[in-house]
Amino acid sequence: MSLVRYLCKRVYHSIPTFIGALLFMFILVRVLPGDPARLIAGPEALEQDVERIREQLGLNKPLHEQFVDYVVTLIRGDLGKSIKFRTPVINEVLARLPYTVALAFVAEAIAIAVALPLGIISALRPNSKLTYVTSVLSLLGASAPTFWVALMFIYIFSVNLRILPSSGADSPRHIILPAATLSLLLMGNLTRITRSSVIEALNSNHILTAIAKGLRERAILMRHVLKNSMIPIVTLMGLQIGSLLGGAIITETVYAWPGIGSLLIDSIFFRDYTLIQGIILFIVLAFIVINIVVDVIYAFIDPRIRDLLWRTG
Amino acid sequence: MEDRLILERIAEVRRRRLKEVWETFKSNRVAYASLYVVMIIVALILVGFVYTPYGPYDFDLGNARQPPSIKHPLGTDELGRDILSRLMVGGRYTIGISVISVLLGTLLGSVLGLISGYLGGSLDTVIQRIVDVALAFPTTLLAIALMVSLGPGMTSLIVAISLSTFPVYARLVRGTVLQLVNEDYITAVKLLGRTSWYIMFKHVLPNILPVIVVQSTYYLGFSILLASSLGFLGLGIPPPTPEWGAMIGGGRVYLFSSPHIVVFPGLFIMAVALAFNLIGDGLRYALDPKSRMFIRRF
Repeated sequence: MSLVRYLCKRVYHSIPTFIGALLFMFILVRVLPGDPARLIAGPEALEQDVERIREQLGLNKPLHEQFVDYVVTLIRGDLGKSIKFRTPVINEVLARLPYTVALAFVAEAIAIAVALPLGIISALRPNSKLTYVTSVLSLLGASAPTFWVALMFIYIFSVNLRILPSSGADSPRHIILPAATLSLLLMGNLTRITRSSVIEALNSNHILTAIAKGLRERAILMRHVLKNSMIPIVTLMGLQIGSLLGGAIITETVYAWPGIGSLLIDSIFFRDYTLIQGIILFIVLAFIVINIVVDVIYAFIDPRIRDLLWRTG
Repeated sequence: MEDRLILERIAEVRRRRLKEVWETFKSNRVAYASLYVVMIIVALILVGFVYTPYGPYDFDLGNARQPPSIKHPLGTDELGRDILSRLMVGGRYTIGISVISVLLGTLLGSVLGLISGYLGGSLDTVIQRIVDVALAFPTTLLAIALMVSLGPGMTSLIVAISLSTFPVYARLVRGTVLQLVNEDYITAVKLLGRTSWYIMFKHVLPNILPVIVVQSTYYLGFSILLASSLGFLGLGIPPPTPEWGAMIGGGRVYLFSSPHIVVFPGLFIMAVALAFNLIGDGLRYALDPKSRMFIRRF
């Protein structure tokens, strides 16, 4: 019961944020240079035809009325039609969504597979060579421009070694390079947070108790240290996946991966404003939902937080 | 008379503390070396204002896409322009824009965070709702969206980058301020009857400065990545301006035959971003080990 109540409360509280984001996005898209009515009509259309389209789309009304119209159609579940594809925006987004989701999860999986062991080892053996390598790697991940890493990967693995495809999404092998590029970006922070939270857990009193009880090292590590250091790690994982659902824009563009991010860039260059609105709307919504989900996962891992959240939040 | 003695004593303590910070920073060899990397690149950019080996905009189609040689140390690009010269000139855009954006973003975010955290009340609510909305957008997406509606150009870049980074400062500073307001020395100044604004800027701000400085150093690295990404996507400064990211975007088509056009600008971007991240690490360690918890790095 309390979980449902907590969820309702969180959703309720994020409504103003969502409406604010909607308004902000609406204004941004409306000040875009270029006339959407002219775009639909084509360059050779007569001025009166353009005017008619403008009326049909409601673009001749004042801005605040347009916003109200937009919100009303949104509530009806209608995102409008894409100017370029002439299909409902929701269909375009849903068609691309599986690619973005797949990329996000594969990238996060690679990052976890590398970062978790590295983080734990470097926490347990602070002076080993591996720790040093880890810190350099995680720094490079945070400092290398994504688009450049993507191009370098293409050069090394597609042009020189010819072992992996450089663009598109025709086979499962196509996901390897984009996912690896993205995971490099995630690895650094993930390793760092794993390392610091394991160190923190190692220094806490209950670990001292466990050692004093004479538990085996492995048991202590698995049952006590890792469990207690999971909260920050899970939080970061959730936030990373959340941002990947919309933030893989650059990687998707370089690898021509047909996800939401590359669709956004395409629609920006085509000035397909209904599609731009739909995509941004989706990304913001995903971001807000992920934030709530992360908080709920928090609560499952740590009963102290659960009590705190559900009683007060 | 006694007041002056106290003030002198305070000044001396401050001087000694600064010296201590500098010594700690210097003892971190990696961070210290990074400072040199930044200085070398800044020197190259400054030299670029008065001298470049070749004109950064001079076509030489007969010498297009030459690999590095003695004549052209970093090779030539698709139009035969000398890449080193272009990097020397382009740096003022990439780095200049990042520095200005971070300054503006820091200023805006810190002032809002300070007001929000110290004054509280309805002002706090309004500011935090705005920050909520801004944080609902992933940073890159926000910057791209702003660039698209503001149109390409230097001013748009600065506005876009500083607007997409300020909310994090506003949160960070607010959180730090909230921890400070209950400290005894703040209560003491309050009892002296000073105004809120005086306390905020004279007593709270100096104490949260280390957090702001460290965060800004990390953000410098991040802004350089963001600015060059926008340039790469073709949303930044229009060609032929040799902004580093745009140079990579232009050379991308020739990746198969002439990778050097893409490699060198990327190395420059990475060197600067890495250096700022390492300097940030050094500063964080030197300034305040306790502040570690609140700082978010990219």
